[in-house]
Amino acid sequence: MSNQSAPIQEVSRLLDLVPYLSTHSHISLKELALEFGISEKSMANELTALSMCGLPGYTPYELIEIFFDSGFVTINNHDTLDIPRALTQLELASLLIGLEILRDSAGDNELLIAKIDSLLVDMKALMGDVIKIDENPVSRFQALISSAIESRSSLSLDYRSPLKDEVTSRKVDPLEIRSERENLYLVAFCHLAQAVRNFRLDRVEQVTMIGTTERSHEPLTLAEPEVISARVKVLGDRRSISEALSIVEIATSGEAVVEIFSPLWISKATIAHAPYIELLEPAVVRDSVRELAENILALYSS
Amino acid sequence: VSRKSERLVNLTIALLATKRYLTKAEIFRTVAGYTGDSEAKDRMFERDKEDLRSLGITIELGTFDPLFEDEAGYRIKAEHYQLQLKNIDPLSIALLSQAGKLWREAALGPAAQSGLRKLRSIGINSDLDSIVEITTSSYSAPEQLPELIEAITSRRIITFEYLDQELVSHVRRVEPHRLSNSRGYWYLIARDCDKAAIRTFRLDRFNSSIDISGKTDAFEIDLESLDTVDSNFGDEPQFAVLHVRKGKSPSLRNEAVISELDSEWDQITIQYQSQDQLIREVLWAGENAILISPHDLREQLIGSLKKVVASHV
Repeated sequence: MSNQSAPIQEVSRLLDLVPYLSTHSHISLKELALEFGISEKSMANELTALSMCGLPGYTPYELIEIFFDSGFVTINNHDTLDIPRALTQLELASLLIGLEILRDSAGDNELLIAKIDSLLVDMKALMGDVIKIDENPVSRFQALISSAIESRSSLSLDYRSPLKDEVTSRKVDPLEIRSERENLYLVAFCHLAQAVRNFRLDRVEQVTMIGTTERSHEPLTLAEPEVISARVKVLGDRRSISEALSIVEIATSGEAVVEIFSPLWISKATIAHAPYIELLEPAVVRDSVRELAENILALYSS
Repeated sequence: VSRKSERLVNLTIALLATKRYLTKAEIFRTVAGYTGDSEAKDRMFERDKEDLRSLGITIELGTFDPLFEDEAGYRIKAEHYQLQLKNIDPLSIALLSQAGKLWREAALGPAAQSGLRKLRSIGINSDLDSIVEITTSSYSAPEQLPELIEAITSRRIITFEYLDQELVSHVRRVEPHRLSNSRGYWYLIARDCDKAAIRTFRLDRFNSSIDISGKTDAFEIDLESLDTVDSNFGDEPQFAVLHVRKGKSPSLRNEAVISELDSEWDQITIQYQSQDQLIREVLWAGENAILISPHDLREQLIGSLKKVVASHV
C-alpha cells in the first residue's frame, strides 16, 4: 500500500498481528518479523505497543497480553480483535489479477480451474467490476512449455514469423521462458536453424511434446545478433511509430536513430507506417523500401 | 511506535467491542489517547476516522433509538471488519498464495503480501501439493496500478500528463472507472472531465506521476455504459475484404472468413476496429496482401505508398 503513511501501516500491522498470533502461538520473533516484513527490533517494539492496547479501562484485565518466552511469542486476552481483517480493495485487486493470470497456467486441471473460478466470482462480487483481464497475458502454452523444460523434452512448434509472414513448423529444445518488456519469450535450440533462437509466446500457434531426445548441442547460448543503426525521419504519427520502433528520442526535426537487427524488418516497418516514415540510412535499405512500395503498388494496378 | 498508532488500535477495539453506538463524548472519556481541549479532540477524532477508513475499516454512524433525536454515536460492526471471503479452504489458500507470489517485487507486491497475511491468520494450512503443476514466473505490472485501483475504488478524480498521437504531453483530468488488460498492455477506462466523454488511456503513455489528491466519492460509475465501451474500445467494428497469398499472412487469417480465389490467392473477410491498425497490418504483409474494400481505405493506402516511393528516390 504505497500511498499509506508509516503510522497507518503500523496500525494495519498491529491489527493484523492479533489474529495472526492467535493462530500461530509460540511463533519465533524472527519468523514473525519476517512474515510482517519488518526487523526483529521493530517487531519487538510493536508487540510492546500492542500490550498497551485493550478495552477502555485499560487495567491488566482489559489489556492485550503479550508473552515473550525465550524468543517465542504468545498472545492472550485478545478476544475483540481476534478476527482476520477484511481485505482492502487493493489487496483484493492484487490477488484477483494474480488469480486471473494463474488460471491460464492451470492447464486443463478442471479441479483447480473450478476452484479458481469460484474464488474469482467471490472476489469480483466484493470489488465491483472495476478490473478486467480481457486476454490473459500468459500464453496458453506456458504450462506445457514449462513442463517440457523441466523434463528436458523436445517440442514441435508452429510459429508465426512476422518477418516471413507465415507459420512454420519446427522442432525445438526448450531452454527457458524469459520476459522482456510486455512479452514472454521462449528461448530454445531450433533444429531448423541449428542455433538458439527467441520465440515470442504470443506468436506460438501450436505446441506438442515429442518426447525426450539426445541433446548434443552444448553449450547453448544465444548468439548475439548483429545490431545495425538506421536513421529515420518521422513525419507524423509519432507516438505509434516510436512505440513500434522502440525509438528513444525523436528530434524536433523528426529525425531519430533506430537500432535494428534486420534490414527486412525496418523496410517492412517503414512501409507499414506509410507515409509517416522516411528511411534515411542505410542507403541500400532505403532503395529496398522504394522497391517494396513499387512492388505492392503494382499489385493494386493489375 | 507512535502514540497515534496506539490510539487508533484502542479506538478500533472500543468501537468493535461495543454493542451499542458510543457517542463522541463517551469515546473521548473512555478511549486512551484523546487529549487537549474539545476542539483538538474533535480534530483528532475526524483524522482517526479517515485513517481507519483508509485501512478499509468502516465506522458506522447511528443513534440508540431512531424514534428519538438522540445524539449520534459510532461503532464498528464485526461483519464489516472481518474477512469477507467465505469458504476458504487449504486449496484456496494455496492458490491465492501462488497468485500473490506472481508479483514479487512488482508494484502490487506489498498489497498482495498484506492480503495473504490476513488469509494466513485464519490458521488453516495451505494445500500446496495440489497445485504443484502450476508454474509461477514472476509478472510485472505498471507501477501506477496501486494508485489507480485506489482512485477507482474511492472514486477520486485524478490528473496526469498524457502523450498524444504526436508525443505532445497534455494534462488530463479524469474520473477513473476501470482497468483493463489486453494484449499485454494495461488500459485505464475513464470519463474525461474536460471532454465530458469516456476515453481509454494506455498506462505506458502516461507522462507524469498521477495526482490522486482529489476528494473521495466524487463521481459514480455506470458499469453498463462501460461494458459497451470495453467490448469495442470506442469504435464500431467494421469489415474489410482482402486478397491474401496462399500460405501467407497467418495473423490476417486469424478469425477471418476465407474463400479460395485462384491457385495463388485467397479472398478473406476480416473484422476491424481501427482503420490505422488495419492499414498497418495490410502493409506489413507487403506483397502478400491486397486491400480490396473499403474503397476509401484502399485509396488511402495507395496514396501513402506513392508518397513513400516519391520520398525514397
